[in-house]
Amino acid sequence: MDGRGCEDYRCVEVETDVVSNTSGSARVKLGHTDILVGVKAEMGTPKLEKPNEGYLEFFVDCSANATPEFEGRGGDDLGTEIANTLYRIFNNKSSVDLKSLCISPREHCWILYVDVLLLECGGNLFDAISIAVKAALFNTRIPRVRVLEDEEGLKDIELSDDPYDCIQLSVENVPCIVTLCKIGYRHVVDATLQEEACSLASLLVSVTSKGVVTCMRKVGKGSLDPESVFEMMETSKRVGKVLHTSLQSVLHKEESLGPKRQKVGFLG
Amino acid sequence: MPGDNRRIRGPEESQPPQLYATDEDEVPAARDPTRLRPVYARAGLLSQAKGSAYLEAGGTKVLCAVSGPRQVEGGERGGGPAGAGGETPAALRGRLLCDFRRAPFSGRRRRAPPGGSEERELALALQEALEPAVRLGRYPRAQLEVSALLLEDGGSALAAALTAAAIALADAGIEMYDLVVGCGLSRAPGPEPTWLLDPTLLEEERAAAGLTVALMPVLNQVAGLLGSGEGGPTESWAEAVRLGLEGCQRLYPVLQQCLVRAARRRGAATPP
Repeated sequence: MDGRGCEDYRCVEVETDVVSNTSGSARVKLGHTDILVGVKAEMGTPKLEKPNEGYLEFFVDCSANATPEFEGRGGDDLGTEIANTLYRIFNNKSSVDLKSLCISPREHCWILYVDVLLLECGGNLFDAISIAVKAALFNTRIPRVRVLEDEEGLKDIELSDDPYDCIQLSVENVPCIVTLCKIGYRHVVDATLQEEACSLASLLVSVTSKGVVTCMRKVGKGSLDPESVFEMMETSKRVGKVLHTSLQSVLHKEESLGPKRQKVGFLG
Repeated sequence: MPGDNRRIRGPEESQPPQLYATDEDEVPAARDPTRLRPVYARAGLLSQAKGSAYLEAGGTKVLCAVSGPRQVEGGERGGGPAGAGGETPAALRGRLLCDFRRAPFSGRRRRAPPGGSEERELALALQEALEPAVRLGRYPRAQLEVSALLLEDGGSALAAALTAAAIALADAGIEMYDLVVGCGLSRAPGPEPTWLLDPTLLEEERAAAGLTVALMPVLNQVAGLLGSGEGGPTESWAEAVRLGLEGCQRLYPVLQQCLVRAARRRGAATPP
């Protein structure tokens, strides 16, 4: 409809470090879709089954500004659906190195609260959210802490004095979601709202930069032909690789500009 | 949901004794990766529901009931995922409401009744898989309620719930394009990824990745797909989907027989 090929994304704008109170943040604009993600790192107790690891908690808020459907509690269902999908794609050992989030086993660990805000809804929410989460995690700086032990065995946590002494998470294996909407006999990447309305079923694939798939889900009221499922998976692998390489290069370029870069913020 | 006064929740902090047990690594027994556990299915067992079904596959026991179609106030646009506008107005299409619950004693650890986000996610997966099969256009302004109760989790619970829900809908006489058959798969960790069809609870817990496929056998259309875990490349997932679809086709005759038997029972019960 807007002259794109079936596998082309709309123009994506990514900006990190937009909110100063967070440990990491990112804002993504994909066409008319606008997402803001903030990551806060807090200390807590590790889960009982995994005493040597920290964990991530996701929360998605569909603000009423996004579309009139989200007024009141209308956006809650969609928010829980997106949060559950995010839990699923991060629910494996290789996406984020959770062991690096451990401070002392069984007692303290870092919990990363990833909060996603939907500012404007213009189609293809899952892709934009996953790009924003990856950018925010890349931007996250977790302060270094040390556990000091007294003679009596009392433990004390010491935060390092230098505010720039931080751990950075490696986002090499963080997956991105590619949503393929089936319209007629073909499938389309990055559908706008109107294209999504024409499509009866879509396949959501979360793929890492190496082509490893971490989650697969069918969304929508219609059914899919098995052959198109296989085709869509191949397309998602191809598209995912391209998306990852371009995202990595943009993030690295932005970081290399350092503190002198011009922040566009919300008015750009 | 905080403050649920209707149910006895038990103390806030309690753990099962198994957590403190010495780690005995129970390795699941090697088996043929394409074997399906024997399935027992029965339809029409609840007297109060319009349609019902009970499905047992290995250790997994699911009970599903369908009620409706019930008239619902029109004009209320459910806040679904973006893109709900532009189709036939929501008031003219019927709605399918799915609910998935686990009994507190179904798994290894006791789960207090308001199960939370996992159950809502599975309920949404149930709805997305059943919608393509049900002719909702024939029930304008009506609502169908499907509720699945997992009595015991013995592996591939979502697949069993899907199948039971489809049988219950058919038993209730709801117009459908085709039955929906669900099949679970899991991938064992290790260097050679082999996908196992219809995993047991032990295999599922030790798995690196899990997948549930729902197929409409006669139309040969994939109605639902939900999978996650440490992937392999896409070829490995494609192989798993193929295996799952094959498993669904093999399960279909059992369900056909179950529905025929239920219809005969109903015919014999009502005297001519």
